[in-house]
Amino acid sequence: MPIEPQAVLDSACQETRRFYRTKLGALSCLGLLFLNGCQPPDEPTDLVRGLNAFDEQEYLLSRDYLQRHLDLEPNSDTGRLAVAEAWRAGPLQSPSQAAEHLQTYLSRHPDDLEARLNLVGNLRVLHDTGAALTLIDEAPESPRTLRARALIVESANPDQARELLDRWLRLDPEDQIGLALAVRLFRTTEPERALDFARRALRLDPFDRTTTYLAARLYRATGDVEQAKDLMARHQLLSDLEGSGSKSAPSPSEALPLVRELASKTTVASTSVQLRLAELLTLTDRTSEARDQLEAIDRTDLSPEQTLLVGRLASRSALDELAKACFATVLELPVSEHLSAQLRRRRLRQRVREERVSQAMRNLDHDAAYALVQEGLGEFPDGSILLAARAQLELHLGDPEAARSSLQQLLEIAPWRDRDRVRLAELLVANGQIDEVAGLLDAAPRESPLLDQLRRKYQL
Amino acid sequence: MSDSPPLPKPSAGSANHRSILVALLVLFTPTSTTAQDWFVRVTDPVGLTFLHQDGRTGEKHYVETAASGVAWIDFDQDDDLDLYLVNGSPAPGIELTPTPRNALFENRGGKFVDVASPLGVDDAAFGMGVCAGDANGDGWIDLFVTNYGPDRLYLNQGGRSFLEVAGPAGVAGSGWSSSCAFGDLDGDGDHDLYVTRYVDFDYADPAPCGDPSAKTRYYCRPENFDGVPDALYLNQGNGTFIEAGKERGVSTAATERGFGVSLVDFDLDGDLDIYAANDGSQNRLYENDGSARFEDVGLWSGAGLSALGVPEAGMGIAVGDLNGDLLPDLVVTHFSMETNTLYTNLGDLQFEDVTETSGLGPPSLEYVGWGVELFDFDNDGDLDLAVANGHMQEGIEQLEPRLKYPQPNQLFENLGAGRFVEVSPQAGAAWQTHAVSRGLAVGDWNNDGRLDVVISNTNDRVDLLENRIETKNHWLGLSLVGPAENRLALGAVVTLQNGTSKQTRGVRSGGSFQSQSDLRVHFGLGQSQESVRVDITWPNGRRQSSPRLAIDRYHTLRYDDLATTKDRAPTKPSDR
Repeated sequence: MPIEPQAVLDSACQETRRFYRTKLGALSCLGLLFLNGCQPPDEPTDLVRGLNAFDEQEYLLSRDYLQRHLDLEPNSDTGRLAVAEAWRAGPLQSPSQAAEHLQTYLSRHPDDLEARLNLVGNLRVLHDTGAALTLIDEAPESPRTLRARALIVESANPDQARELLDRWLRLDPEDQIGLALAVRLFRTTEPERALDFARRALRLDPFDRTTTYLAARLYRATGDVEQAKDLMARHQLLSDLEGSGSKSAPSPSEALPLVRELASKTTVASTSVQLRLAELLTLTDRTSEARDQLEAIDRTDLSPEQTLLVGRLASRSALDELAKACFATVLELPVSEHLSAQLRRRRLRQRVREERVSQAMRNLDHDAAYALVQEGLGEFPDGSILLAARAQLELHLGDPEAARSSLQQLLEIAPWRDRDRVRLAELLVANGQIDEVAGLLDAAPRESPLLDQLRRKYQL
Repeated sequence: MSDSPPLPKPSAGSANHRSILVALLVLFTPTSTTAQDWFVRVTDPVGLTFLHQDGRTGEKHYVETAASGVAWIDFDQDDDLDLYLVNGSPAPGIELTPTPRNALFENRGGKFVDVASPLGVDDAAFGMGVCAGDANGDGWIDLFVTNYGPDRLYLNQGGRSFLEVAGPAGVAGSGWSSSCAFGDLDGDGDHDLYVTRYVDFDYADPAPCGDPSAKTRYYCRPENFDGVPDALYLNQGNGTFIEAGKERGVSTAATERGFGVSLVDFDLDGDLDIYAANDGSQNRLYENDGSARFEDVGLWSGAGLSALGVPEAGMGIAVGDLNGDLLPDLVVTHFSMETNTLYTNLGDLQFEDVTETSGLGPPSLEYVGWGVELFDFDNDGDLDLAVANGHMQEGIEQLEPRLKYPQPNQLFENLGAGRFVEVSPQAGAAWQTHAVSRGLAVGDWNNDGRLDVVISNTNDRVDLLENRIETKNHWLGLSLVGPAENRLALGAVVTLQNGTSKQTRGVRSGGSFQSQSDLRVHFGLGQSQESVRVDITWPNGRRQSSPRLAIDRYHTLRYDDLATTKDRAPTKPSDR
């Protein structure tokens, strides 16, 4: 795959530098932007804070920061898409608010299919079927619009959904989402046919929990108890991997054997299995294995999200050429497509750093941990978890002044971290700077019992 | 239905047929012939002065989101239903005057009088739920009250007072308990106890969840807290219990946050199985081997997850045979944006999520469902459904305008074979008001043969919805007195044949959400005027048939002689 010309990278750099200091920026093409001389802004912005907060699953705060950013820059596409995502994430979701932001974005970018279908998804949740179908009608017919339409009518009009599905699968017979929908649509009326769809869908994505479950139920209903049990066990494994099963979500090192086990049970080595394995191998620092895994992946068939992930994994595994090629490919896509993809992604490279630091800390190897923290912060200067770890290590290493500085830096970019605010307050008190504590507490973006406790303790 | 021919039953899978049935239902509803509401709120006239309070201050302590339950019990064995109401409690350091306490309203011929204080059941802890059983085997209904904090076991002293013995009995527990249910799980005749436990919440270290812009707080989500394992207490037969969950195969993980529970013989093999609903993770179906050793078959059964294999926010549970195959089906209430789910029992501990074709899906999407019961409100011979709704997030309207904190409760009519249509609009103003409801229990408080509904509301008065539906349908009510070791007959199953159709009802402790319905069983008979026989499978496995029973009245059937020892005519409205 050829590397894109410099102009493409320059253009991407211009958009991406706005959130360069975030993990999300780092996720897309930080390495390339470094090479091309992008400079970070001097101070973190509300956009940076909003995206960071999103990444730390502080969705309410994320909405707040992103809204402030949009108040100043209403035409910020990144901010608009990100705030829409934030309204659809976390415990207090509002599909209505998300839809409003997406409508604003779409009024400026009517050709952006990704954003259009995202809005369709929100309207589907809101049961505004008419508006959702109108939005689809306005776009040229494609497998993706057929898919969106079929998903809308799935419950209300399964016959129509089946008809759409036929057209869609003729256009794209290997579309995993289409096959999975076919399983749902035919499971009660034509179980044998549904089972056939399930087999095809699971060959493409053995990690699809719903299809795994439905296939198990179908096998059970058709009397193949052994197959059913095998698939139900796989479903349980997948649930555990996602943290929604009977166990908490495992760490990467715990997940690795589970995924290996899963991969060993699949007859076709699908892209999703390989990617998941590569991700876990990378996260657990098995570079050489990760390299083999990545090189086994057929890049030509990857979706944008998969391409991005391969790029990140490759970058981590020092497969520079592969990484650059993948990033360049992603940069060719409409901005919303790779932004949305990034917003849905975990921050992989940074997690590697964090994992290694925390391992060293667990081993009480504070010097090694500190070196790893510094190395990590060199790459991710605004990594809040890394900064928090550095402060903790500086205290362990007997340097409270440095810890204060690290905590101050941390609270600039992650002001919601109440426990770190309390830590800093205690350090200030210990240093005789109790006058500064009240201001520190007032700067917190939200109320918190921890902070209240501190106020009471020092009668502030 | 009143003044109308019985509705024809739809054949499975016929959408057009169903549309016709819905049209028929609308055409023949009593509202088309009478202005009388089917249900009337009678809370004030009957003297139910109870006010639920949790003393909330805006700190949004998570414990405030799920309280509290209700119970219909005849604690004094005078053949009418009394009402136990569980109350909340303010956070530590906050005083409310008067102190919120649980109430026991004695039914005195149509008026309720709170006797909780003199009888010793006016607990002031943060109450969650309640269930009825007979912990000491003396034949009197005892109460187990779940709390945030130690639970209470109130032993009934012959209907004259209660004695709290949770500590010495070994069932006090700690932390946040939710629903409970008694039943003979190990086959020794006495009543064991299952208690679901929710999350590890601590006033001293609450997870802060809030809106930074407004500097206000919201209630956290369950995921912010670790779950706490449910408790399985085995009755030792000497007034004490031993917690044996882990040893007996009932072991829930930290990701599981328990809410509803129901003890039912789902596979008709003669022992009680356990169905436990979890908030946000897979529900458990513990198959009993007959000696209280359990194996979780929730995932394998199809009743652990939604039709698409994903966990939902399980709250309350209702159990009943919805399609006439005599197998107990399941309805589980869920959070908004999720449907309430109907699992039909296929036999052999296999269930199918049939929500999509049941008519229960779309009407429940905007509501957070809690209490739920299956009962035949119009005595037409099939089980209808009532659901108590109310969002858990105060201020949800500001975030998502489509959702409301107070929500209307819902009544669904069974069109036959487990297909439902919502009839709340026809059922009267009582089903139109918005409240933050939680507990729900069903019982015939005035013995007129029409099942009434009581619903608890957070920080609000309770709603007693008296059933005044006018129909030509008939009914039969039964009080069962079981064998010596299980006088309450928990776990007994009664089958009635009426013409060509069969109905089955069970005597069950707990269920719904943190609530207890009437332990008597009730059958709607449609317009049949024939006397009926019933077959009873007692909890010890013995089967007996009754003599022919006159309809439109309550009978007491005793295990020892299976003689009809009481035969009471229903109370007429004019008698009240």
